[in-house]
Amino acid sequence: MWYYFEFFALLSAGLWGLALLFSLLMKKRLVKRLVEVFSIIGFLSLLAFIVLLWINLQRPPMRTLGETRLWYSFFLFIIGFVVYKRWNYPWFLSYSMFLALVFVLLNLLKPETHSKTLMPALQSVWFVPHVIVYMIAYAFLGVSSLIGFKALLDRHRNRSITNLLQLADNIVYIGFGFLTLGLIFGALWAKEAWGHYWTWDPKETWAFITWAVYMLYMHLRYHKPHKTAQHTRWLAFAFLILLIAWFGINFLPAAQSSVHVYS
Amino acid sequence: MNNNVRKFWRQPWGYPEGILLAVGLFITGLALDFFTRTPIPKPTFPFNISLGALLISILAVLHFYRKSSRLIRWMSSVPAAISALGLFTLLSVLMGLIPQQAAGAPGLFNMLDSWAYLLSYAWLLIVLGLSALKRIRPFKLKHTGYLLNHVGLWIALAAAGLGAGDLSRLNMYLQEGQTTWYAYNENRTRIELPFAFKLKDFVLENYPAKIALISQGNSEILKQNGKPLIADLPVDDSINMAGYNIRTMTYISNAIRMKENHFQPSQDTGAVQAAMMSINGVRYGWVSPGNFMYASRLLSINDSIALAMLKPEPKRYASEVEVFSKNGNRFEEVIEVNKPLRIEGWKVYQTDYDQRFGRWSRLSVLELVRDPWLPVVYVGLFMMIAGAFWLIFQGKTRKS
Repeated sequence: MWYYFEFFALLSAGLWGLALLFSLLMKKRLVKRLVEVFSIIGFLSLLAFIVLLWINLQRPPMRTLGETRLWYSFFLFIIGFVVYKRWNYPWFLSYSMFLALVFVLLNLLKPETHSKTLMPALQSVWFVPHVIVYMIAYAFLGVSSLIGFKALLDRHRNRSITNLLQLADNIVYIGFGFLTLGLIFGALWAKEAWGHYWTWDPKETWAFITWAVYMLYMHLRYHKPHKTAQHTRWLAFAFLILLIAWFGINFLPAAQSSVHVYS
Repeated sequence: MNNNVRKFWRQPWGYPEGILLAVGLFITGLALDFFTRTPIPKPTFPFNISLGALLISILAVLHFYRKSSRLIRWMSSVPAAISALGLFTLLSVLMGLIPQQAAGAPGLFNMLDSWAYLLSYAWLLIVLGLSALKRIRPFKLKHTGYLLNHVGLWIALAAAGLGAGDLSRLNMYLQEGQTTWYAYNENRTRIELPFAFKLKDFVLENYPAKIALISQGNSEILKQNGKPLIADLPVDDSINMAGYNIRTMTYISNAIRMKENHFQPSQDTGAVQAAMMSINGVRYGWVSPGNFMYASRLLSINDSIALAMLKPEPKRYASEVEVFSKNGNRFEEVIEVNKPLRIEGWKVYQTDYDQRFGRWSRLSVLELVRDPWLPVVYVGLFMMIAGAFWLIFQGKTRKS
């Protein structure tokens, strides 16, 4: 069945690539429609392949890394499209489509070079949702901090940043929603894999800190929305904490016993 | 300056009082840790139920006098939330930076047993509880998201904390062929169980072992551009590593070593993975990671480099057990990582085995967990999941 993947994947990749190109080049209404149509047909091609693969394998295609990559692409697109439609953020459709495209291309170009080993603790139905939801949260919060930096710059140039911060707030709320889901999915998974939903493992501690820092930001913003200067700095700082939780954790002396450090 | 100082503790309170209160709680907590040098008490059933009821009553009374007290109103305000959440976050950051010793004296090195942590937790529950009550009465539909998030978090936090004393985690050691009725707690005390397991078989499947290029001198894995030269075994195929074409001629997943350094398929005890490899089509030889019975086997490429097969990584391990319950029921079960067994209020997890023997281990280690407060925690978590969806779809509703 994977033999036919090339056909479906190239169709998806080509259409998404075109859609991305259009969305970058032009901003006309007609182009917007074209982007939507292309991206949806690309998605349907991926969907068709997953359905055929499922029937062919006679089991849910969620076992190997290559199979999970299909789902990454699948969900990334759906979430990207829904958020785009709901909030009218074209950049988010482009962003998630780009990520989905990367995963399809990975499957196409390097189907077998990845390590196939997955330690038993990671072999769970929670693996995919936990990771995807976190990646989405990181995408939103990353964008919010970019807006934060832009606001810092604009403030420096004495431009109004009220609108920018309102946009950032919205994005933080959505990102925080996904961050909460990631945290809770992780807790539910931990209960199945390690016996307890929360053990203050270093990665958990830093995930909590990240969550709390954004929570602090949301409360500060809610209370005194006019104190924009303080809040922009906080927004930039919060992403720093997020990066510690994501990558920095591997270098912290307190984290060497973490169950999340996979060598 | 004098003017400012006089204003400080006067109502209405704001951020400065909140920060000072948090600092005060932190110092008090550390002082208590320093003088008592004992871990905080963890109430068990039924005392934790009473404590929870007391907490809710206090919150209800405080909420009742809300209108007449500025202090109580402040306690459900954003500055108080920042104070409580900020302190809790500060303690988490310290916990995330300072290596923790679970058995050490309570304090900065053992935060979870410290008074500082307990005081911060209590302050958080009070502020969060009052903030939630503020929106429950009077109830408005537009506050649904707020309530799901705040009440959900309060329930999850309260149940996790109050239930900590009732959480039991035991280790159970099963030997193949034997029936075991007991497990051990963290103090190595033997505890009898209302059920028993007979380990019929411990099963472990390995992934095909990886191969690596190692130094003949110190046996360390070589690196190229900072990346270790490790690859999946190319079964029925070849790969290129550091310029060498490495091909698998024969791969045996269970092999025993015969004389003349030859490997042959076998299911005997100690059977190990082995592969006949070729380097650039000119050098041929067996590689095998070795185990408790057989020495490892390398294929020399030149004086300084050799091809090695690494110890295999487990793909799956599980205990096939026969379960005996007190009321005479007998049935068979498989307990596997990520697939715990539920029995008589316990959840049973596959955790370990005798690493020296790998798939030939006759020992299986299980962990038994009983957490009667789990359903309450889950109610809180599921409310937060609903609240998260609310946030995602509502975004930030602007204050007009």
